[in-house]
Amino acid sequence: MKPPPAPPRLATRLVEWLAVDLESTHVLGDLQEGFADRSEQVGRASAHLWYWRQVFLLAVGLGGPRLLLALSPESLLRDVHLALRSFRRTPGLLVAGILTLGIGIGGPTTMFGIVDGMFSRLPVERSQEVVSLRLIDPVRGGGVVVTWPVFDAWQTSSSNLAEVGAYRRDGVAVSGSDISPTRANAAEVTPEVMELLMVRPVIGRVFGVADKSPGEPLTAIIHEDRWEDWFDRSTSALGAQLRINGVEHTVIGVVPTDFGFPQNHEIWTIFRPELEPEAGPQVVGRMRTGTAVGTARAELDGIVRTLAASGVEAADGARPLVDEYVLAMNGRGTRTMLRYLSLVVSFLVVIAAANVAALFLARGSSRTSEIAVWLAMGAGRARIARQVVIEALVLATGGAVLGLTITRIATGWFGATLEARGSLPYWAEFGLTPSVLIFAALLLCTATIVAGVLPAIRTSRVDLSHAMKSGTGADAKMKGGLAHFRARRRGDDVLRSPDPLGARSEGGAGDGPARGGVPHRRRAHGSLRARELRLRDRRASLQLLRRAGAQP
Amino acid sequence: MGEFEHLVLLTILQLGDSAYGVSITKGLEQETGKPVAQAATYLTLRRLEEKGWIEGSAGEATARRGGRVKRY
Repeated sequence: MKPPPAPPRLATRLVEWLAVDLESTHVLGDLQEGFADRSEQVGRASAHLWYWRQVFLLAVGLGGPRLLLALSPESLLRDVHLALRSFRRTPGLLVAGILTLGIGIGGPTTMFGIVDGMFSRLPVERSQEVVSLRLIDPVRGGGVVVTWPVFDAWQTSSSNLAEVGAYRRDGVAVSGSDISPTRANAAEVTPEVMELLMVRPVIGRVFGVADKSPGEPLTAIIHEDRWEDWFDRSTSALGAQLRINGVEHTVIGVVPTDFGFPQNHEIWTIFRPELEPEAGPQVVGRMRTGTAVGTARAELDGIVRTLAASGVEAADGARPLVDEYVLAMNGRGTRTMLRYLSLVVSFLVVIAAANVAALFLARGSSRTSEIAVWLAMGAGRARIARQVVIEALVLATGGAVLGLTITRIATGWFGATLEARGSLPYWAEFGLTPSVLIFAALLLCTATIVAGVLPAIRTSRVDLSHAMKSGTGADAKMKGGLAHFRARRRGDDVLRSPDPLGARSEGGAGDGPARGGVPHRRRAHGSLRARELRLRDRRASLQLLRRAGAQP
Repeated sequence: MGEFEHLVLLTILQLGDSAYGVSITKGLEQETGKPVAQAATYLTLRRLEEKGWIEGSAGEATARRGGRVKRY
């Protein structure tokens, strides 16, 4: 007799995935019957079209709810519970997997965390508008000193820059009436710097235009930490005298701890070019909102060319560079290079996950009997594959937690080391920032996919009859599993639940006979009696399976 | 109960013990004179079962169905 035509395999797979496990059997049966009828009546092509149309309609009708069901917290929690139960039998895999993935996720995340921390944004509103303005010699490639005439021209003529300020950093000796002489990082700044960085003092005020007028008393602003160290947070600090490099300065304000411009500075004095006219300033600016870096650069270039044409010294042939402040301070192009490096290091997680996948595959070969019981209970291949992926997800989550712990410790140590050396930038923010967590989550997903997908495919391909024939204890497990399945089937329709595996785990009956079966097999091994017993077991389980397939 | 659910229920009553996915869909097509999607039948049967109007039980498997059981 000619066999009935087979419907499209891909569509069949789709229905298997879409339909709840037990339903897929009769739905697929009905569809195949309809396909066979139409193949005979209207031809194969129309039958194919009809079949795909039914699958599409089923996908619309069942797919949405099924997807919601699969992603529901209850469903996921049940699967995680099952995964943990399975790991209880193989604690070695759990520990090895978490350690491997922990290192695989922790290493790249630490690298990313350090790069991300060093390139954090300035703690100021619209920080991307704050730019460093420099001059370079396009022929030699090196930097050119920005002279005061160039600075003044940029400050007065640029329409794309809202503010332009100058600064110079220095290490200074500080002392006072109640302050023992000490070294401190200080910076001379023009009033515009405080303005463009939107500094809000804790007490007192920041520099104003009047402070830079010749003849005005020299003033200083101190960091909140120094305010605490030197004045115990007393408001009497305002007006106190500080001797900076032997020159008396009056404290006029205290700035908060999240300010340390230009890098990690704690004392600021007014920049007076007239005192040292030969020393060129470093320049910082704030672009107007909506201005592109390229636009600002082109404008500054035009100003420099105009100055060069009028014979201003040091402007001839120089070209301006405009970079976001943090990028300029960390080195132009460094961020891109370090990000590529982070990406390369991220392959560590692929290697780690591949090792875990190998462990899963090795474990899968010893789980044949267990999977056979699942199949016999009505679980589809997709359901088994999903469970294996969930197991990989559990391992990857454990690895991610370990990896983030490593990241937290390593980046904390890195930050503390930089701080101890006095080179920690004030904008640097190390730790488990949102971007670090997102990066770790991406690695977690990668690890789950790499570690879980291949073992899931391989594990779900267990051949039920082959598993039963292999004398590895499967017979006893099958008997136990099927007996439990049939008992539950009589009581409540367990296979109609979205999680037939859960039903097995709840009862625990599948485990009981499995444990009992092994010693029985061991006792009988090697004797004629043993062979007889095994054959009897196998025959009984085959009969059970046949009946399970043919009866409700 | 919706109109289509009503029709499905009447068809099941008409077919009696031989009502399963394919026969119900064919019965509906005969009654209405319009093509009926098998998927629509399943979704309606599921709804009716959830509402407690009908109850399903597994039936025999045939080679034409790829060895898969029917659900009456």
